[in-house]
Amino acid sequence: MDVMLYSALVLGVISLSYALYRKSWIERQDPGNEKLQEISKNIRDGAMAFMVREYKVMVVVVVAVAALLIAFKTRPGGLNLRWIGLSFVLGAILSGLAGLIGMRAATRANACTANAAQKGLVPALHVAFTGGSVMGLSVVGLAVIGLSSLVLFYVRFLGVSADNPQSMIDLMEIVSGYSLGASSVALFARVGGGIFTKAADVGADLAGKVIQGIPEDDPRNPATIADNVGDNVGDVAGLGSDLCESYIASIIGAMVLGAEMLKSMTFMALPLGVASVGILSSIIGTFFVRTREGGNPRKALSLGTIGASVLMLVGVFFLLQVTLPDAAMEGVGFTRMGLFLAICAGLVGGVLVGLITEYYTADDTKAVMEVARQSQTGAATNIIAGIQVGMLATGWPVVVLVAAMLGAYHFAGLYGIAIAAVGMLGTTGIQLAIDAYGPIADNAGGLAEMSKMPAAVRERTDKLDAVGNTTAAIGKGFAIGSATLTALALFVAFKESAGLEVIDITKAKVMGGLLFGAMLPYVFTSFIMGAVGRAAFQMIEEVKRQFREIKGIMDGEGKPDYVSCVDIATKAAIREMILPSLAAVTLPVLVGGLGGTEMLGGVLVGVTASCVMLALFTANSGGAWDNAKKYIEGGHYGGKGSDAHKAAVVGDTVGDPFKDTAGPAMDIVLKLMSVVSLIIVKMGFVTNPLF
Amino acid sequence: MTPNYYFTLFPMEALIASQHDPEHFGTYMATGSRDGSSDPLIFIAVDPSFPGFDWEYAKSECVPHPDGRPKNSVYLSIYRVLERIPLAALGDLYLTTRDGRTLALPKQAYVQSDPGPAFHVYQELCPVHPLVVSKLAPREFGQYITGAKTKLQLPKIAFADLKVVDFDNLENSGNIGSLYDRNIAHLKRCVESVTSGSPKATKTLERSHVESFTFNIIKSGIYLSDGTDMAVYPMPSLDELRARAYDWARSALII
Repeated sequence: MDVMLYSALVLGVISLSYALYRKSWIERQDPGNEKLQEISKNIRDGAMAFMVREYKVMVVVVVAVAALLIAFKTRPGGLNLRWIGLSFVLGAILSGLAGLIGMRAATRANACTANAAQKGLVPALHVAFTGGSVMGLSVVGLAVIGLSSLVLFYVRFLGVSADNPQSMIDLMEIVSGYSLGASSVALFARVGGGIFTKAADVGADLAGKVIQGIPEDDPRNPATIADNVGDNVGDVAGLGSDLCESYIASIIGAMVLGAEMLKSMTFMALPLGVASVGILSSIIGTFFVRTREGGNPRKALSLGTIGASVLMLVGVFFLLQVTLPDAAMEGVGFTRMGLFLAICAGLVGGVLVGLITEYYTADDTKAVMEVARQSQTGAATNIIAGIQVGMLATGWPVVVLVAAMLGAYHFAGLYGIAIAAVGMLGTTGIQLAIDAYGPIADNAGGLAEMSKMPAAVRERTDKLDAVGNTTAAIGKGFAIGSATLTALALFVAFKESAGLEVIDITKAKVMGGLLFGAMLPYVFTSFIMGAVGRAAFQMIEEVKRQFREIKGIMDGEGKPDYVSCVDIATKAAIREMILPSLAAVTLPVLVGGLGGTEMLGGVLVGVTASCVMLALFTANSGGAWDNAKKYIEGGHYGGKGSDAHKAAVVGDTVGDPFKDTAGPAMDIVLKLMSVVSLIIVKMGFVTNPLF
Repeated sequence: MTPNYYFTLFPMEALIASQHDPEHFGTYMATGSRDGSSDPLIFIAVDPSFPGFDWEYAKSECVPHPDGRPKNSVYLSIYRVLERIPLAALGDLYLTTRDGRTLALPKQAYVQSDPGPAFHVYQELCPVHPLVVSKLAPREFGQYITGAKTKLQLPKIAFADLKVVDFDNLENSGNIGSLYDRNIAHLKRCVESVTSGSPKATKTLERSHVESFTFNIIKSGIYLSDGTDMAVYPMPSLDELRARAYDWARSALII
C-alpha cells in the first residue's frame, strides 16, 4: 500500500513540477508586439478579476461548509471525524489552485500562440498545447498530491490499519471531504464560468455580428474582450475544475469500495496506483504531440491521447502484477486479469464516448450536415433538427457506458465499476491538456484578429481553432462519460456506506426520490439558461449603449469600454451561480434528512439518469448547431449571409448555453449530489429520517 | 479644405459633397455618426469638372463645423443623378460594408472574356434595381439597356455581374448570401428562357431586389454604361482580398 501511496505522491510532485516548468517555458516565449500584449493583458486582467470575485464567494462557502463539517460529532471508538474539515478545505484549495494555474498559463499562452503562428503552424501548436498541458498536469498533480498526502497523513497519525476495519471506513469518510471540497469549487467554477462565457459570447454575437454586422473578434465590439475572457474562465478554469473533480471523485469512490467492501488497504490504495501510472503515461504522451509544417494538428493531438492510453494500459498491467500478490487476491471475488479488463473497459469506454460525440458534432458528419440542410427552410427547422440530433446522440454513448459498466462488473464486481472510472480518467492529464488547448487556440485566433496580424497568421490560428473545436466536443463527451462512471462508483460507495442491500423502486418514497432526482437537472438547467439569457440581454443593451454614446467606435477612432462588459458578465455570473448551486447541494440533504437512505438512493438514481441524458442531449445538440453553422460558413447552402446562415446563427446561439453552460453543469451536479449523499450517509445524517 | 464629391449609387442614388476621405465617408454613411444605421453602400468618387450641379453651393456649405470637425455631407442631388454624370468624371468605386469597412476598386478598361459564359445574372444597382438573367456579356448588356431599340430604355445603368450557383450542386454554393434563396426554381426557368435559343436577351428574375444583395455575390465586378462608354470596376480575386483587404473581406462575409 505504501508503495502506491508514495509513488502517487512522487508522481504528483513530478507532474506539478513539470507543469510549472512548462508554465515557465510559456512565460519565456515572445508574447508579440505591443498591441498583442495589450489585448492579451486585457483578457488576463478580465479573467483574473472574475476569478478573484468568484473565489471570494467560494471562500465564504468553503469556510461555512468546513465549519459545519467540523461541527459533526465523532462516533465512539472511531477516528476523529472533524478532520473531514481539513480534507474539505484542502480539496477546495487545490481544485481552485489548479484552475488558477491553468488559467494563468492559458492567458499567457494565447498571445504567445498568436505570435508563434507568424513563424508557422508547428510552433503555434507547440505553444498552445504546452499552455494546455500546464492545466492538465497541474490538475492531476495537485489532485494526487493532496489525496495521497491526506491518506498518508491520516494513516500515520490517526492509526488506520486493516486490522481495524472501522478505522478504514472512518478514513474514507474523512477523505471524502476532499472530494466534496473539489466538487464545491468545481460547481462554482463550472456554473459561474459557464454563465460568464455564454453571456459574453451570446451578447457579443447578437450585438456585434447580428445588429451591427461586425465580424467575430473585431476590436470595435465592446463585448469581444469579455468573450475571450469567457473562453478562459469557462473552458479552461471551469473545465479544469470539472475534470479535477471527476478525477478525485472517481479515485475516492474506488478507494471507499476498497476499504469498506473489500476491507483491504491494498485495494484502497490501488486507485492511487492506477492514477500514478496514468500521470506518467500522460507526461510521456505529451511528447507524442508533434506535427510538421502542413501536417494535421488533430492527428498530433490524437497521437498524444492514444499513446498515453496504450502506455497506461501496459503500465497498469504491470502495476497489478507487482502490487497485487496472490494473497491480496484471495477472497475478493475477481482476478488480476479481471481487474485489468475492468480498467480497460473504463478507458475504452471513455475514448468511445468521446468519439461518438465527435461523430454527432464534427462539421463533416451526416448529422451536422442534416442540421445545415434543414437550415435552408429557417430557424425553426434548424432548431428541430438540432434537437433531433441531440436526442439521438444520447443513444450510443449510453450503450457504451452500460457496456463498460456491465463489463467492469462482470470482470471485477462492484469494485470493477469503480476502478473502471479510474481507468477512464487515468489519462486526464493529457486529455485535459488537449481540452485546454482549444480555448487557447481560440483566444489566439481572437488576438490575431484584434491585433490585425497578417492573413496567413490568422489562417493558421483558424486551423488550430478548428481542431480545438473538435477536441472540445470530444472532451465534452469524455467529461460526461467520466462523470457517469464516477457517479456510478460513488453510488456504489453510497450503497455500501448506507448498508443498503436493495433500493426498492416500488416503494412510494423511493419512487418519489427518483422523481425528485430526475426533476432537479431540468430545474437547474432552467436556472442557468435563464441566467445566461438575462446576462446576455444586459450585455446587448450595454453594447448598444456604447455604440450610441461613444463616438467613433465604428471608424476606429473611439475606444469601446471593454471593462464594463467584463463587469456585467462577472456580476451576472457571480449573482446567478448561487441559487442553482445551493439547490444541487441542499436537495440530497433535505431528501436524506426527511426521507432516509432509500429515498436518497432513489434521488441518486433519478439524478444520474436525468443528468446523463440532459448532458448528452445539450452537448450534442449544441455542438451540432455550432458546426452546422460552421459548415454553412464554409460555403454551403449560400454560405455567409444566406437565409440558411441566418437560421443556423439562431440555432448556434440557442446551442451555446446548451453545450457550454447547461451540459457541463450536469456533470458537476451529478457528481456533487453523489458526493454530498455519500458524505451525509457516512456522517449518519440520514439514519433517523423524519418520514 | 476642398470638398470631395461622391456619387452614391446603392442603396440610394445621390451626389454628396463631404470633407471626409472615401474610407471615412463610407464609415459615416454606413454606420451613421451615432447609433442608427447599418447599411452597405456603393459609391464612386466624382471629379466636379462638368456642369449640371451646384458646385458653388457645395463649396460654400461643405465647410468644417465651428468646433473644427469636418463636414460629413452636403447633398447636391438625390434624383436622376447617374444620368447627369459623365462616365469620364467617375473615379474609383468604393464598396462599404454595413459595419463601415471600405474597399476601393480602381476604374479599369473593359476586357471582353472570350468565350464568356452562356448566361449572366446581373443585379441592376442604379437607377433601377431588378435582378435579371441575360445571355449578354456586360458590354452588350449595358448597350442593350441604354439602347434606343429597348422599350424600357435607361440613359445610363450601373450593374453588378453576379456569381451563379451550380444547379446540379446547390449545396456547395460558396459564400454567396441569400440572393437565390427564394427563387432557385425561377432562376432555372429564366436561364432556360435566355439560353434555349429564343431571341429573348434578358429575363427578369425579380423586379426589385436590393435587400438581399451582398458584396460576396459579386463575380467579375461592377459596370457603368451609357451605351457607348463603360466604367469597369473589377472585383479582386479571393487571394487578392486575403492579401490586401482581409478585414474588409471578413466584414463582407467573403472570408
